[in-house]
Amino acid sequence: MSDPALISQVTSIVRKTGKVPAHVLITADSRMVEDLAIDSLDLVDVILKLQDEFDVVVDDDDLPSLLSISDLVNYIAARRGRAVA
Amino acid sequence: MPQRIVAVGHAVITCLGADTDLTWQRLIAGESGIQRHERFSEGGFLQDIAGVVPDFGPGTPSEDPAIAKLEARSLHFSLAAARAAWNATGDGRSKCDPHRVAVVVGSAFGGLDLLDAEQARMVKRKNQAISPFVIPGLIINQSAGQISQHLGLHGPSVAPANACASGGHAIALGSMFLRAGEADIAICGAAESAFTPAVVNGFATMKALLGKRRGDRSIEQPSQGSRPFSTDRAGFVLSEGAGMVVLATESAAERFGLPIQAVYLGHAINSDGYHMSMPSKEKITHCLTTALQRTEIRPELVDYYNAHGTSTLVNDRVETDVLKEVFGTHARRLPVSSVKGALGHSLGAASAIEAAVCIRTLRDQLIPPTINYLRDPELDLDYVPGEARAARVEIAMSASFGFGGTNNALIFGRWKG
Repeated sequence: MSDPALISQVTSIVRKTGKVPAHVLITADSRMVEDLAIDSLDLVDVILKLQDEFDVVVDDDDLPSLLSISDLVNYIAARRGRAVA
Repeated sequence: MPQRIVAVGHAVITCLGADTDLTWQRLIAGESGIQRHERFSEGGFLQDIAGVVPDFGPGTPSEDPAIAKLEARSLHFSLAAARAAWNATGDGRSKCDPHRVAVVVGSAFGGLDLLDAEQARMVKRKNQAISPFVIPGLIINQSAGQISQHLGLHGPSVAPANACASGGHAIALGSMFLRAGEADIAICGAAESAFTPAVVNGFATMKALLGKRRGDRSIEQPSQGSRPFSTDRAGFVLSEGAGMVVLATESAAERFGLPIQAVYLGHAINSDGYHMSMPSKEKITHCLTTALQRTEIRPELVDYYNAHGTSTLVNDRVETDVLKEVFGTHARRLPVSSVKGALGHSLGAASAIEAAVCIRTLRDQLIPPTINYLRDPELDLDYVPGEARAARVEIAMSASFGFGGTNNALIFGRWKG
């Protein structure tokens, strides 16, 4: 969680794609369902947008562990640019 | 005696304008919404002349945030047209029971444009993931669903998918909910936007769509591509849009103070049972005759016939023959016009738009013209060529015929208060 640009980009995608109202503060600890009230379809859409934006593949098996903004940022940071078999 | 059904609101979105008044003014002025579109000149389309609703829908400043995720243009058309038609019914609508408002809104193809775009994105993804909004945006009944959701309505919600007759079928079905006592009000119509290469090229391959033929006047003048009943007609021009008509029982209209615009006298729906795409003169004749018989209207009392008039060789000839059969000697005196010359063919939406046109015709006593017309010696009716005509119109009939052999004929009457 040391890349402020990445955090900002992820936060922006989560806010727009997850339809998070402007008055709701998004922090690294914000949980997408519990804190930001993103519904299940929008959550899938968030993951897709992150995939497209950062050219990563999010495995279905990893989805249950991607709960917060920091989870997403760490996941993307670890996988960005990595070749996929 | 069954109580009367009346029209209390209507709205259209067409390539002549995303606004009913604008579309009507331009129709009456004899203008065309058909143009050559650069985005269809590339990307595998066999025709680039089309009727596109300008500056509207997903990705434009006019995008409706309520359905921003559902990037099917037909959904944006249908919700916007339904909002406009519903608003046109005035403040009295707030007094109605939302559980007694039906939403009957169809389409021929639904969200195929969304499917096409998302499928292209899907195949580029390494894990073939696809948007979770493809399925909700693709299904044909989503228009009815979104209209119900965003207008707060909870009556019956159905979606006729009857090709180019979908909108007319929707109006007929809506009136049946009213007559059956299952609703007081019905928002009826259809929306369409099916500009995908497979659809455009599919119609082109069938020779139903206007082709890029050397010497065709559309090459120099795209606005002359759609020319119903014209001697040089050469196929329909694909367009998009939506039409909505709000029907109500007369007692509900009076109870809620809804503004009555026309009387919905009745309809007939039938099937050719004949061919997957060719029309049956005999069964279409039966459909129109049945509509007249059911409404107890003598053929000579019909003052205007709003034609399906697609600008294909077959349809316009068959429809002309049908009118001679149904109306007899009155056919020669009956003004017949097709607004598809101006609007192109918006498939499922067309007949709902044309029903709204009939309501305007009855209201304003003005018949919209068939534009781009050149006389065909074999088609010898009065097609109201080129210029709108002021006329006494007490009764108007509109008919539409869809692939799969499905037909409807709707009859509207002038409201006299």
